[in-house]
Amino acid sequence: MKQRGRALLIAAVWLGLWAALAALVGRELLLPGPVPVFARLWELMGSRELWRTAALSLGRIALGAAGGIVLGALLSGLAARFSWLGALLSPLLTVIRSTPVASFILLLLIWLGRDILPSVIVVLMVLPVIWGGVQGGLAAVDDRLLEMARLYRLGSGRTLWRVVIPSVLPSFLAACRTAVGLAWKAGIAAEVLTVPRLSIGRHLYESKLYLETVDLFAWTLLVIVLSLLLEGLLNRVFRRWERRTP
Amino acid sequence: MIVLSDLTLGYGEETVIQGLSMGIPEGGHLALMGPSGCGKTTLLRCLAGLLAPRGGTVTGRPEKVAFAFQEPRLLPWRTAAENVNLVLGDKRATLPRAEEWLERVGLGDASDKYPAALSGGMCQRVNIARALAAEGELLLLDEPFHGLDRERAEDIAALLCRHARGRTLVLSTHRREEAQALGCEIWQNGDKIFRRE
Repeated sequence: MKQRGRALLIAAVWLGLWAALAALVGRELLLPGPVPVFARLWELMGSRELWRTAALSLGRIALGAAGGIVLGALLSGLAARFSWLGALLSPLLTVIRSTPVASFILLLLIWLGRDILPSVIVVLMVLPVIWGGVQGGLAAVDDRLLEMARLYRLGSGRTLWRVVIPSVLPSFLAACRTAVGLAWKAGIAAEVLTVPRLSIGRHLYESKLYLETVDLFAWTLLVIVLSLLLEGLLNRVFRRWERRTP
Repeated sequence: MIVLSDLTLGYGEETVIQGLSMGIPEGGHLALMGPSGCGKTTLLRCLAGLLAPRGGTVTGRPEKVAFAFQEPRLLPWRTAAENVNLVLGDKRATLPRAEEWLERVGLGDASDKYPAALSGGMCQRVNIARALAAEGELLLLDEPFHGLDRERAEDIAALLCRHARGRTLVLSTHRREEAQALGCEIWQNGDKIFRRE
């Protein structure tokens, strides 16, 4: 209760600062205050379009994130098994990690359709993070446990299931947390640059284009709220998995 | 009979055992003694097939080997019973047998506990229970009484004695009375080989 009161107080302080700053600027076009922004968000939330748009954006990003997580884990696992594959993929992943997301978006826009592009961008952003997480987890697998598994002839399947996967899981889940946050940001950025028909990114882009700053703030607020909800949901799922690996 | 011929073992640049030749009769019990780092664990790992010799040969090693490691090597994400059950087929149906083994080492109440909730001595007993449950023809024990109080060590020694009857047993220890309790012939280390006392 005390903690909730404190959180509310902190939120009130920041909202107050925002309102004061907006009053100081005095022009809604440059900096709208929290009241018109929340009012606009409330109005948007009453429309079916917002929910369809949010669901489609979320779907695109979730698809990309899931693809990146599965591909990253799979490639990292295969690279651990076949060292030549690790050597082959390592420079590619370094390039992907170092390339600005905008360069990828503009380049892929030439080759791909605008509806699928945000998902592909998310795959590219998530892949190196998961790769790194799984590689780190695999490096931390206790050799003594592997030796025990070998001695008692657990076989490759059970060794993977009982020893390797639980060892890698904490590092993999940490990478997933980072990757999902990144996926959300990169996915929305890709939508802003590619403007798919029904997308949060398109609304952000159009708000900026028509100087509807209140809308820009309202859609951004929606992105933040969805991101927090998604993070909360994932934390719940991950905590359940983590409980299995004390 | 397990026969070691001109065996050389080591890690990296270091040679730990050099030119060791000895025979371990089937059903024989022997104890390897000597200061820390003299090669007792190294030789046990070689007998378990976990370390390839640099030179020489090991013949006659049985198919099924059980090893109570010096450090318990338990899976932290599995309960005590599940850790023992690993060597029993890892099926739900075999879990009661794993629990029986835990009872025999005095851990009947701890079967559903994770290693993090057990003391060092309790983990060591789970390690021993797992090695016994594996029913190896060759039983390797690397300082199995480490971390156990005197009374508990005596109970475990009695259990090991019963279990090891008719099996080949190789023990690594610093304490002569432990070797005697398990009816072992003592081999002392000197100049990178073990010699029968």
